[in-house]
Amino acid sequence: MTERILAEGNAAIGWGALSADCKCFFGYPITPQNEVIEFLAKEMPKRGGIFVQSQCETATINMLFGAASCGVRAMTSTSSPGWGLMLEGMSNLAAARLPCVVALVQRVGPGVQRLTHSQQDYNSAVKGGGGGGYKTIVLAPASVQETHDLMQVAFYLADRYRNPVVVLSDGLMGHVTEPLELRKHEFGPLPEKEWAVTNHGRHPDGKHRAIGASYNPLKGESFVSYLEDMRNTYKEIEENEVRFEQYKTEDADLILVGYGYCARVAEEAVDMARAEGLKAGMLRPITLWPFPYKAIRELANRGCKFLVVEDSLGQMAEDVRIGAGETAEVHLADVTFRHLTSEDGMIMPSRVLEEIRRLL
Amino acid sequence: MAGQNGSRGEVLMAGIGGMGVLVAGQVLLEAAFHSGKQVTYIASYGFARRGGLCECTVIHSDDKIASPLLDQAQVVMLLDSAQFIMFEHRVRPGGTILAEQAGLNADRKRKDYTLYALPCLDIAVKEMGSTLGKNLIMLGAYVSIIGSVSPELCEKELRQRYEDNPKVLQRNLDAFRRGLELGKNASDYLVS
Amino acid sequence: MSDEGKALVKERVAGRPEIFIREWFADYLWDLFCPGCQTPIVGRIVAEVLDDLGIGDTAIMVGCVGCSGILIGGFDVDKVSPAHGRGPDVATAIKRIYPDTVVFTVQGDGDCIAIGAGPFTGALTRAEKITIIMVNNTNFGTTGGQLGPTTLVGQVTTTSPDGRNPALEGYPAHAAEIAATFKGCAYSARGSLHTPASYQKTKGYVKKAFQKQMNGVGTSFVEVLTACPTNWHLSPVDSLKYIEENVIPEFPLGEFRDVDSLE
Repeated sequence: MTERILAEGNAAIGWGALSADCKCFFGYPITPQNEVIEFLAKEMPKRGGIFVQSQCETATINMLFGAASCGVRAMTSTSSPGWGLMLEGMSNLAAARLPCVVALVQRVGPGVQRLTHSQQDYNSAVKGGGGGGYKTIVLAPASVQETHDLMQVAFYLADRYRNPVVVLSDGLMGHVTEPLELRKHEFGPLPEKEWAVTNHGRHPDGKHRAIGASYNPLKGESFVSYLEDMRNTYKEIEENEVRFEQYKTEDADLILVGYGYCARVAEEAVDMARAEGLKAGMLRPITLWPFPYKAIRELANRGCKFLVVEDSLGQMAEDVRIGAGETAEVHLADVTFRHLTSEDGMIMPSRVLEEIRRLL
Repeated sequence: MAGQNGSRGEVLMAGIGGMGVLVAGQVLLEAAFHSGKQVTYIASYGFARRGGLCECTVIHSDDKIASPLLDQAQVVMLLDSAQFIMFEHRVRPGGTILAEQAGLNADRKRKDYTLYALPCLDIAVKEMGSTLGKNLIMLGAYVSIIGSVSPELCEKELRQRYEDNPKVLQRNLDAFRRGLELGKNASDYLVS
Repeated sequence: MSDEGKALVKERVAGRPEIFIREWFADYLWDLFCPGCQTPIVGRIVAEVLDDLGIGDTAIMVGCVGCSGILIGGFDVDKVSPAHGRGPDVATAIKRIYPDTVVFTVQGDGDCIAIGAGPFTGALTRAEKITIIMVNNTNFGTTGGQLGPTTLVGQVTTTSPDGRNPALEGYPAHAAEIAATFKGCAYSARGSLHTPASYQKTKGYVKKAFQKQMNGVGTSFVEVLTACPTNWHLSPVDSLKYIEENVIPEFPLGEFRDVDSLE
């Protein structure tokens, strides 16, 4: 019998990690994800897992590098300012092709001080903020249940493609409380991590293992072929791992596009619009990279207009524009749509409905 | 989604930090959860502290819940009536506002909802000897008046929450039950 | 280098300890290290100690960025090369995963207590049972000889062209003494390599440091003063004199902390 509990989004990050048999968690306090580290500080030791609170986010990402080098399932979580400190580490993890999961609970930016939600890290998380131009799969849950479930997907995809995976949440998603079924998902078989550093001495092939935070010419591959290998992996991911959800899009004239908490708001606005006879629908990307460009293009080719609902100045909107193509109409319900101009403001369903009415 | 379709309940609770707004919301949330419904709960958390503004939204439904954030809720519960002006527009047409009677200046800009001024603070102080517990009196009244969640489940949650502190538990149960009673006579507290 | 030279290096230089990769040293020793550089000697000491203690097969090495970071290529162990300064963080995770295995870092002075100051003090605060070896050549060598945390007052570097001026650039940092102030520190020592006797003494410190880890006491640390002829603009022999006359007076040799239990 799967246990059904009430949990906050942040706790669901923790529950998901436990369901995925994550062995190591490294963290540092930062609002609004402190519940993640507090939850795992309690739960990891109970299960024989490892929990370390480090001295800063540059430390946690490098501890993650160490653990991932050993081939064990490991993760960290942070918020936007800490994410900035982790970017060098992300680049290193991607360079070394290390599987791991980083949960990013977005807050107001740019800069440091403010503590409430936003969706302003899209570009940094999705396009890769560290040096060198790399990609990491980015998963965006829009409910507590999905947070838990996508955490498991994240660990699987990280192992499968030998790449870091980001789970992108926000301060609101982190603090909404909803029912959670603690179901463990089954995924396909994964290859052995024969590349990992261990304490067993020589490996079966008679050699030791070396992991480095950059391309290494002494390993016998060329720089160009190293990058080509990377690109081939990214291509494979783009072909196989796009995830999204469509809601009432079959006959829709206007497609709302949103992720995270804005997807929930958009869904409510779609329901409100439909009650007034307006043909609105929603496409909700679940993977922000790889982005569902094709699905958006199909809707654009049908003549649909788009309304991106995004709590920023418009970052995912650029990807929607790319997907929809030059001739499609793409509108933006952005941070200026918040019901309060303070950082406590949120994009609310009625404001989005106003925009739907205006566009249809 | 919108409106009261029988299976869906919405309540926006607001007050000052320290009044137990969030506790009331959480008790309701747990009760609804244990009745097998879909539920969402979200609280304003920016600078939640004693003396600061504090609100939470609880939604429960047999169906999927889209947005956990609502512009307007079917019920608005105000533990601090100085905020009446700020929250009057947050109730749906045809909905209900349960406001703390003390300090309520019911300068209504709308007449399309039902307004109750409930003397929770007065009861708490006069009958229970302290301001603590007024949130649960208000919650009890809500459960009585709106009838969307079972009182037994609320009491069960109170028992679990305060099982380590029998004195506090008893006080809270008394307050909640007093609220149920209050709610039964709610029509005495209607404000036109 | 000539093929005969390479053969000589393989046999005489890298012939022992076992964990040296002979081909690597043959191919890279002369190309990657400056004439008179003592970083490879630190490598030799660490390798000998691992061999002597019989842990060379399973020990896990964490490298760094800098001249000392080159060493890791010649070690036939499971190893991780992290970002600049982050060795102790990476080592922390590995040691937590493999608590019965010796996990150690070899870092330069800049890597260890400039950019690495946070990881350094973090590991000591948490009493991580790892061993940190810091190679101190009083400058950022790989990048051309810039001012570093351990640069001497008056020492000319590319970013202190008039000599280190305390009013603008402060004073040299003493990592071994700093480490010794932490309750989580099991062992802290400073050695040098400017004479055969000092080599033996330093090797003794390094051995003790690893033994502390094997005994599960706490963080162990050894700072090794090394010559940097290229950036000191001295001959290799004069560099050794410089260490004796200038560096050691600023950075005294010896053991600063040595406990068998942290309590």
